[in-house]
Amino acid sequence: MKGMQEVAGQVLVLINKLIDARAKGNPTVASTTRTKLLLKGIKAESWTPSSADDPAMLAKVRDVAREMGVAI
Amino acid sequence: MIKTALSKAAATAEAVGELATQLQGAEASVVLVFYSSRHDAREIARLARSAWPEAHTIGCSTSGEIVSGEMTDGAIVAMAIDRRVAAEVAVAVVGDMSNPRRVDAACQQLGALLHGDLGQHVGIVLMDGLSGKEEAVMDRLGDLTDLRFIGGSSGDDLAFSATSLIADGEALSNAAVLAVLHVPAGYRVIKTQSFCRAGKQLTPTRVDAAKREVIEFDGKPASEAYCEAVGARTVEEAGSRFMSNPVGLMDGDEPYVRSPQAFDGHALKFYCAVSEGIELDLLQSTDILADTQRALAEANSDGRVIGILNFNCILRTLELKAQNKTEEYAKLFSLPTAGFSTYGEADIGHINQTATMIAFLGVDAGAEPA
Repeated sequence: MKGMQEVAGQVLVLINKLIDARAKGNPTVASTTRTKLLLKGIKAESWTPSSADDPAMLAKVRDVAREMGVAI
Repeated sequence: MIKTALSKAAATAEAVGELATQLQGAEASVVLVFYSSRHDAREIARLARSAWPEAHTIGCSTSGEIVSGEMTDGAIVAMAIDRRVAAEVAVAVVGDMSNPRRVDAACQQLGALLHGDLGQHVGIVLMDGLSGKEEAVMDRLGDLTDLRFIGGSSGDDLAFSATSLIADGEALSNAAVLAVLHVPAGYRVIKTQSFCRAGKQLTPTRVDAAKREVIEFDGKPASEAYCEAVGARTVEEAGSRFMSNPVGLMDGDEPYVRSPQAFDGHALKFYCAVSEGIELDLLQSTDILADTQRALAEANSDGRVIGILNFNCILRTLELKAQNKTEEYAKLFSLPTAGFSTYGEADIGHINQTATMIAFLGVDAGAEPA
């Protein structure tokens, strides 16, 4: 529809922001953070730049970031 | 120096006395004690505190003990880690596992050690194996620190009645004991589960996380979907496949094993929670002995390992017993080793049918950190 913008890939963007902010360049922490997300029900590999945005998953990633004390 | 000890004495005071004699000479900063549930936890806590007043004393009840070269039932084992290996130790207790926010307070108590260099600091976590709350504790712990916490859930000799933990003279239940060790020479984590992918996937589409139950896989009743996946004609037949065919949450090629416990109507109850919508791989058991041998050899390829803490799932122990291979398994641990058969294992999260181990490295001035 004219005037509406389709946004995609925001889940992946947020996941990567969370991992980067937590890891601060440490690859070991990046890897364990990815595993922690998986155990919380967020599988990073399932999301691509073209994945449709899922509001529930976006909210979940934001919640996890807040619990981890990470600003995204 | 790391020293281990074993006592099979029936009387608790005599048993702890024997451990103390065997551990003489170790200037321990921490002593870990793993004891059969036939011993009274309060007495163990008190006696351990008295035997090693200069050290932190932590431990828990078991469903079988592991010590260098031997697996036992009904005994007590201990590991003393001296100050050259663990230069600093902090211990804190999560007094009520049903409230994950209590982890925050425990982490505050652990202080600066909780945020130390990741290569030189390792966490140990012992949790009440009948709490059903291990996921919540590990989850919150992972939020609060990047440190690796390895451990297991206390057992009670398969009675499934009551387990206990000890920390610095106190006996505890429905609790988690956290310890952080500053190990200047470093450490390595060994995680081995002895499973491979079976080539089939199951995605939980309806779960009851609090009950650790999957109600539906792929839109079908969980019992039906699991039976189909393992090729069983009845739930009874499928139930006999639980130990050899659990499911795994795959982190790349690394499974985080979720073990089925029982059918509950059409639902499938697990020993740990699973997430809705995340695909699980059906797993097929492989050779515990060969896998463990390989994992130990890899971890100690440079000969720097001087001691191992082993948290081995009770289901693995039962499988070893069924195959009459406990002696062979124990003989793989020729280095000073202590541990126990657990009601759940911990490494980043809560897992099943796995052995999680900490391999402590010796002080070696010329060596690279882990």
